[in-house]
Amino acid sequence: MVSEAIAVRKLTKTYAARQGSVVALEDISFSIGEAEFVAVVGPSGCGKSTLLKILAGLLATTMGEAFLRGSLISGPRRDIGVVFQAPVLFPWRTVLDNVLLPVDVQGLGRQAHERAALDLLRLVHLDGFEHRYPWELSGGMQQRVAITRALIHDPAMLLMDEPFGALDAMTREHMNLELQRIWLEKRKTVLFITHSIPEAVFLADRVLVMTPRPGCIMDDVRVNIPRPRPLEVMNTPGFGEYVRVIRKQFNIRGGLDG
Amino acid sequence: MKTNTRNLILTVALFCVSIGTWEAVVRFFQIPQFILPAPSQVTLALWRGLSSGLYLRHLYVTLLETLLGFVLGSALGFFLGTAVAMSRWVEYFFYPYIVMFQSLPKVALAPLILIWFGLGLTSKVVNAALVAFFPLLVNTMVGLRSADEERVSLMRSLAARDSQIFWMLRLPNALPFVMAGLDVAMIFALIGAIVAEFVGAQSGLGMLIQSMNFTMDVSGQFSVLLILSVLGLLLNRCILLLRRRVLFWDPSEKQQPQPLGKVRHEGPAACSARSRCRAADPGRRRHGPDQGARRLVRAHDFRGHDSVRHRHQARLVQERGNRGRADSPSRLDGLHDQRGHP
Repeated sequence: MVSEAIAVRKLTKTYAARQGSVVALEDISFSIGEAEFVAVVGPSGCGKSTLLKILAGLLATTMGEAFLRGSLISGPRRDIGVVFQAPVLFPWRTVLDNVLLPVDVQGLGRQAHERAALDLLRLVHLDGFEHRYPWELSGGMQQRVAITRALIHDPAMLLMDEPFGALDAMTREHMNLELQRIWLEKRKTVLFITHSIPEAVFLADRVLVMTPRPGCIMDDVRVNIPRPRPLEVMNTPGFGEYVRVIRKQFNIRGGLDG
Repeated sequence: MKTNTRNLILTVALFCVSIGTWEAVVRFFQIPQFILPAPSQVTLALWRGLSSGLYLRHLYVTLLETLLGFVLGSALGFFLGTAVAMSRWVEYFFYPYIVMFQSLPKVALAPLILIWFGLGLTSKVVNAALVAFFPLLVNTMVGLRSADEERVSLMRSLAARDSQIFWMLRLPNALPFVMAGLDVAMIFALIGAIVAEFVGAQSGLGMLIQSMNFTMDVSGQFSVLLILSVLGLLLNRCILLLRRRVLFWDPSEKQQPQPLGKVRHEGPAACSARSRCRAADPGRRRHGPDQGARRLVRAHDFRGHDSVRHRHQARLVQERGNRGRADSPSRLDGLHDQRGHP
């Protein structure tokens, strides 16, 4: 494996609640290699989003620690790009200004990055839309703007929290293809959170399977399907086998049905 | 186009018929001029007042008082609202007093303000500002606090400073609220100025109404009321224009925003998503959405603004109610008393 981009060591997160405390994550350890695409699947409420927030530096850990390229994650940092479930665009900014938000926040120099922003917009097939406002765009287009925004400051890691969860099934499949294409071009380290097993298998090099609360990692499945993967790969027996193996784990635990 | 012309004709006809009926009723029943003047008499009074320059002079005074009070009150409300929203400390120690002050009918303060600031312009401006400042305070406060949690998370994940979150997110996000507050504050300022003039003034339309009341010049009063309502309407239009300019990005400002017809990659999926989204919208207003529709709406990023709109419309309604209370029936009682005297 290539060098470690993310290392998580014995991570535990508990939330204070009215009756005692709730353990969201328990003793999680894993590492992600440089330029690796790792998906995390798990039922709702298994602490996937908590994990992402910790890695994004938005939440403090209760115990254990996480490292990004060898440096401890202790708060928000500038070398991480986050894509949330909703596009979270600012309606008073044009598409281009939305993409340049990290540049503005981090004072990286607008002029130097405008070219890059336009290139990225071309990469996600949104050229010609740079002066539109978010409400003029469809849901899929908005989410692509959000992905572009997460890439503009050239982060070391891309964190994606169910980015296509709010899209309808067809747009979602299309976005999966797009994301794979973008990833093949940019080769970022990606942590992709989803509750869709086929989506995880389709996109990822490795799938981390999480248990229901308290969340811990019960399996780490390496997906050996050559890239670029076309959508038809989903109909192959090999793909089906991966999905079946992962789903079976949830059924044993009674986490998911079907 | 055809229906437009028809509607215009109907509107004009309705106006003529109602004015004509009013005139006919007054003449037929010989209603005394000091109870209900005929429209012709009101028009005559309006003409006399305007041509002599009397109304314009007083209109200028009232307009000046209103605008100064509006600017002063809005600025005060905006800064106090920002302070309360941004600082727990300020909120904890000052907000209770602000709420207490708001529960006080500020019209009742007018006599006191007159004693403190005299019969001139200042007392009217202060009164107008006092009445106008609260809607802005509350709206600014709510607006700044209503920034979407996910947007705040996004800013934090970019390692944004608090000041950046304020300027780049909270403030623009509060603008629809602030504009709604300005809308109300403008009319409130006019009320504040008129009430202060009632209590004691040397000039102004409120003073004019008062003095006409003493001389039983009811048609004159009607004509001034007409001027006041036109003034209120114009001031309101000004705010509306400002609002359109400032909130150009807010889809709810436009009539029926049309998402781009040009869909490049999503194809029919995106179209159906969008039409479903729009179809879900009216239902959402009435009974709340089903889960699927809500998620789609989320994806379209309309959610934040729709709820903003709904909330501040609710606030507007509430404040319109307050306004109704603000011009309390005491003035009407006064009129009755005076009518009884002669």
